[in-house]
Amino acid sequence: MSSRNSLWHRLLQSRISRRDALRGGAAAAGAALLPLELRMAEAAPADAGPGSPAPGASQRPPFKPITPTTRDELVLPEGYRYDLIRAWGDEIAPGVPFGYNNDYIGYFPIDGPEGGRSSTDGLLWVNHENPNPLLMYGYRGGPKTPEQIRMERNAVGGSIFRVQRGRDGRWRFVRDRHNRRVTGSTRCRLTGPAAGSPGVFGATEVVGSVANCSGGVTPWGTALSCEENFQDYALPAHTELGLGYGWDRTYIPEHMGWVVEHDPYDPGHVPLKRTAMGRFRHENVALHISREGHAIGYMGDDLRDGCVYKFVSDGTYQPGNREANLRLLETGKLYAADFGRGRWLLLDYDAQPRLRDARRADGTPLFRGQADVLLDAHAAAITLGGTPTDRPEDLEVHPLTGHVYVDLTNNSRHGNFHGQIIRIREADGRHEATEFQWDFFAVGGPQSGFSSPDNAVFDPLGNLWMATDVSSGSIAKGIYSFQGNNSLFFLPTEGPDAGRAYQFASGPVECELTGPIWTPDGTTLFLAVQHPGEETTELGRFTSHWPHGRADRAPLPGVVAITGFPGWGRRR
Amino acid sequence: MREAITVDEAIEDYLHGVVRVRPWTKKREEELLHAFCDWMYATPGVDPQLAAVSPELAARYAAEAGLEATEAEALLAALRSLSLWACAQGVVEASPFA
Repeated sequence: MSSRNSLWHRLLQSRISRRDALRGGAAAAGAALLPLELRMAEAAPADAGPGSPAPGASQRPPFKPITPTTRDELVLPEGYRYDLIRAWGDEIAPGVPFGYNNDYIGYFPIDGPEGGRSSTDGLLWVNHENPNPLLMYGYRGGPKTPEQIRMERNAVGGSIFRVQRGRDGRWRFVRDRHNRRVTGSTRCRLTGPAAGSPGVFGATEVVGSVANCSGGVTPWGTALSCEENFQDYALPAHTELGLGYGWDRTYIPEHMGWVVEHDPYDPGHVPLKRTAMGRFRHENVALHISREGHAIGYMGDDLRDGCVYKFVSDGTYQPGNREANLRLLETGKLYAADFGRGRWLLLDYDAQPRLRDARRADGTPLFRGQADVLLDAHAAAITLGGTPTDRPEDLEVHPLTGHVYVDLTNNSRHGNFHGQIIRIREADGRHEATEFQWDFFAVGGPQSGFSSPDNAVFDPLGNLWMATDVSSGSIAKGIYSFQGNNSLFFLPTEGPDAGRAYQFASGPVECELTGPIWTPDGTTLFLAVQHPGEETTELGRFTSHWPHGRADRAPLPGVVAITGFPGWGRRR
Repeated sequence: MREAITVDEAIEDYLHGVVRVRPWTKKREEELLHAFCDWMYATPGVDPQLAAVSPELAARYAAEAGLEATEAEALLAALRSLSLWACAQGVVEASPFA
């Protein structure tokens, strides 16, 4: 009897939850009309559970899917077009070039500080992940000159510039006082527990930001860029088979590998490296404001067997108080996911005896305090039992259910060559919770049509737009031949086709499509084409000719604006 | 915090970095390293871990596979680079090629 009651109560509870969720869905439809900040801040998702409907979500793609292709072009469905906004070397300000290998993109309505959400006029923040010395300036090995290193430093970091959509519907770059660069030489500030610690050699100010992969935006209108493969820059380049970029001794690896916050609206802003969010090979941050008001940052360590992390701010979000919100990421708790027990493990030196007891092979302490824990968050996570996963790339929070979607790209160590997307459901729908459930949402492979999920973004209707990253040397070959070039897919998260991948775009040869981001009204998707022709081994014999189509010029990474979308709430 | 890593895993990650910093060497290194890796897996008594890779093992492979002197030299250079890279990444404690 008690078990029947229990079952009944569970069924009843699920129905109530669903009813509440449906009510929430009606509200969600209207939520698209709210200012972006308010909408994100008020996201108090129903505890719908994996597989439960996400009301209001579209189940059909607003386009006729394309088929896989290896064309050296950004191929889009019929009725859609793209405008190239900026490519490597284009100026964004007088004498200031757009950087190399564009990655994450953040869109900031130009009227954002006044509470507006323009979808035709905004600022773009664009990450520049890494240089390509061969394609940039014809490097063929040997010691690098100071000028070559300076060029590489200037090619990474990020770009901020204004864009506008004209009456003809086309997007254009606009000269503006906001336009500027963050580079590998820009002065940045360390904040939080590791700032000034021995592990960073006492520094509170550091030089440069590098390896900015994906990122995120905050409800208070800042961009978060994530320093990923920071270890490559100090390795020597001067030997015949150089190991890395070979930058000079002014490059300090301990000053890199952080989440960096940028204020695109403030031309004088000094980038802030948030040490409280840990140091590892950061892919992105999915920033979410919980019902209790904390800033929750979900993050992945893009490393084979890397862990999944969660940051919970000490302070709470204060609507309308931007100055206060700009300090939210300075302090908080950092957790690593234990998928075997469904628990978040607190990476805290004082609270965890195992961190205090951990020793190196020579018997010296692995960590001397919380700053060291943050500096090597992976070691701390593994020490406490964090789960090594299949290389977490983007994490995204579903705008209606609050579930956290995690793109695990692949892991040959586990015999996983195509990756999968999992979703995390926090206990009681509380993003501060220390327990969670999880399940599989979609699995890569020929049966699903995609391999190696990477960058992603939700639309407000709850559909996932996911880009793939098959390594350039493996694209369209062997077990990866079914997908063609790296692509962008649309995946509904509810209904009979939940988890089914519809192909929206196919990128040029050897590229990776990165940084998908919407304008608030959903009529434009900005997208970056990163490292086209990456496998080129000789100037003049380029493996891609994107975007210019000329055989005698190196291919160019660039950012495009894709239009043709109906916008939220409308159908094509 | 070092975890055991097999030679094929190391080669995969290493080549991913090579294509970014000097793509013109990737194809040749890939051929040499993959053939060496296949031999490690196929040879009884050889542990296919990165930590087992050494100049001595490379010399044994070169002899058994009948590599010409230039090929053996190129393989040794590629293995040295792989090993130093893994050491710099913290994947292995020390490199026997250093």
